[in-house]
Amino acid sequence: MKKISIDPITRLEGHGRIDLFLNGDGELENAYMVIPELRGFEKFCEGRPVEEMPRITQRICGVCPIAHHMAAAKTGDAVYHVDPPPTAKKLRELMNSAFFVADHAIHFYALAGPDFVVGPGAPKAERNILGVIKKVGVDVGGQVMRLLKDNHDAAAIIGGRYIHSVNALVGGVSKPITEEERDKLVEIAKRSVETAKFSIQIFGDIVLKNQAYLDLVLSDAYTHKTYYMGLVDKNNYVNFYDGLVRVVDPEGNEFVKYAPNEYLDVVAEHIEPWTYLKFPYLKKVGWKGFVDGIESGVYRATPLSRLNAADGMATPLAQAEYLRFYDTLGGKPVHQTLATHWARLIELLYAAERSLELAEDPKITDTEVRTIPTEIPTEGVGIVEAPRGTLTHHYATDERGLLTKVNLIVGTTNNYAAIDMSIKKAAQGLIKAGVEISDAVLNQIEMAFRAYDPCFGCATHTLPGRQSFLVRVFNHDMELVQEALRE
Amino acid sequence: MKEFKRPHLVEADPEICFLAQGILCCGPATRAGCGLPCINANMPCRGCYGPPAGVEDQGAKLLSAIAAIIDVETPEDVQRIMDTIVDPVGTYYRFSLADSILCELKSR
Repeated sequence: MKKISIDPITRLEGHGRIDLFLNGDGELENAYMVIPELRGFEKFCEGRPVEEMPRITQRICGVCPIAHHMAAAKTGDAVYHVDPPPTAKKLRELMNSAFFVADHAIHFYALAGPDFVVGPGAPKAERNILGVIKKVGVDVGGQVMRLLKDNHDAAAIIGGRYIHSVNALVGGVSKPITEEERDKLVEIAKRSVETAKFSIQIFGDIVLKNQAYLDLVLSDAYTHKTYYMGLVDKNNYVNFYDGLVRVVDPEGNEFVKYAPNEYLDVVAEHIEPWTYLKFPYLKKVGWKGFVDGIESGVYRATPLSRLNAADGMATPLAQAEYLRFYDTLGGKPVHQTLATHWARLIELLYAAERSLELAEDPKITDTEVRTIPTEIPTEGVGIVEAPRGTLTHHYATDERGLLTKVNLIVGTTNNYAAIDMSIKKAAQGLIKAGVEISDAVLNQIEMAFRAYDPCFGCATHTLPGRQSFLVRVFNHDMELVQEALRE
Repeated sequence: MKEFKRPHLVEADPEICFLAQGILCCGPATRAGCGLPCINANMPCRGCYGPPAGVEDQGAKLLSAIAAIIDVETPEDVQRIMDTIVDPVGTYYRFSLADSILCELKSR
């Protein structure tokens, strides 16, 4: 047996390795996405006061700290049985929306963009953000940088700082915003809507109008029919901050809709000996292995999943794009993993529009932003959408609010089984006996995981790791024949 | 100061020092230079910049600062006030436990 390893894999958050095993004929037999790190948050959070969790759990990640900040604050509310004032919720959602804009934009332009804008087989040295800027022009590059800075500023206006914000706490937020700050937030959101529209146009021009790319997006090698999960509001529209979690089956029919505190009835976790990360699956369908279809409990929670799991978008421009998305790709649900990039841009537009709505809300500068808890803390679950999937925090405390149990199911963890399946299928399509395993081939295998925008920094919240992503190829005698190291 | 209050159980006045309001803040034992983003967002410092130059143990330094501001007459008073700090080690050493005297003592 021959084994190929890509280690480290690149343009993702966190670290990982892909191992590809080839049979004696040189064809793919199996593929593993190995996550060789452990971090231990669930354990060392025990004994900490629950009100500190928004500030502790966000240290899981510097890429999406705000998602953890929000989930921890909502879980703290649930533990203390307290309902924050409406303005506090709006400020949290506004901060989360600005964060989504910046995070989705980073993924499209810096992490995934090089594969499409520069090209999947382009020389390695050009497959990066600088290659993207060279292709789309310095002006566009400047506009994207402005978008990122704007939305970092927006989150910092509300949260004190962009990375590791501090304002969300049990019962609300630590401070209201001023009229002057609101004016800045409105300006930022208006500019963001324009850049979001323009990003969708770039995607249309570069990807959808290029038959070779469109064929790649629609190819069977990047397709899996799975269940889809996402948070929805009372109209079943996509929401990132609040609502119920809806799961649809591979045919698009609602399978379950659940409140955060019911998550253990819906999701269970499978363990494999070759990785530290667990594999969540739908309990009522069951773990049937790394397979797709209606009989398999594998689900996905990604931008594509959120669109599939919802009936639409709550803002006008994103809704129009949502309809065009399904029209173009042949109706709901869409199963093509690479379509996740387009779905992400629709969400980027929604997040920008939602930021504008919230910033213009007359109540957003209201000064009543705290509800002081009066009940004894017990146990609670909080769910928000992180850019890379549904994020669940579950805490139990003693009567003083000191944590006795912590469970976190993070965005990427939801998708781990599907990521493995996607890598295997892409590798099967690309690696053939007698065909040289070039850098371009290995990159196209990486594209299978990159669509998920995985964050293994977060996913491995469960003791210390080291940075890497490697693809290694082993032959049928288990000798290492090729290794692609990402720096 | 006669007791400590937890940040979510009290409305902090943004104009007054957290410690003066009885809200535990790691500012006195933390290196400056961050620009005070947390304080300006009306949340107490948790010491993420580590100890100031010349301070070997961030937690011990903070304990020293706390000892200087509490109103006590008897050892019982000390115990009663310190009991209102619910997670002393987890707070004083949030970002510096691995480099603390506590950790050295444990490894001996």
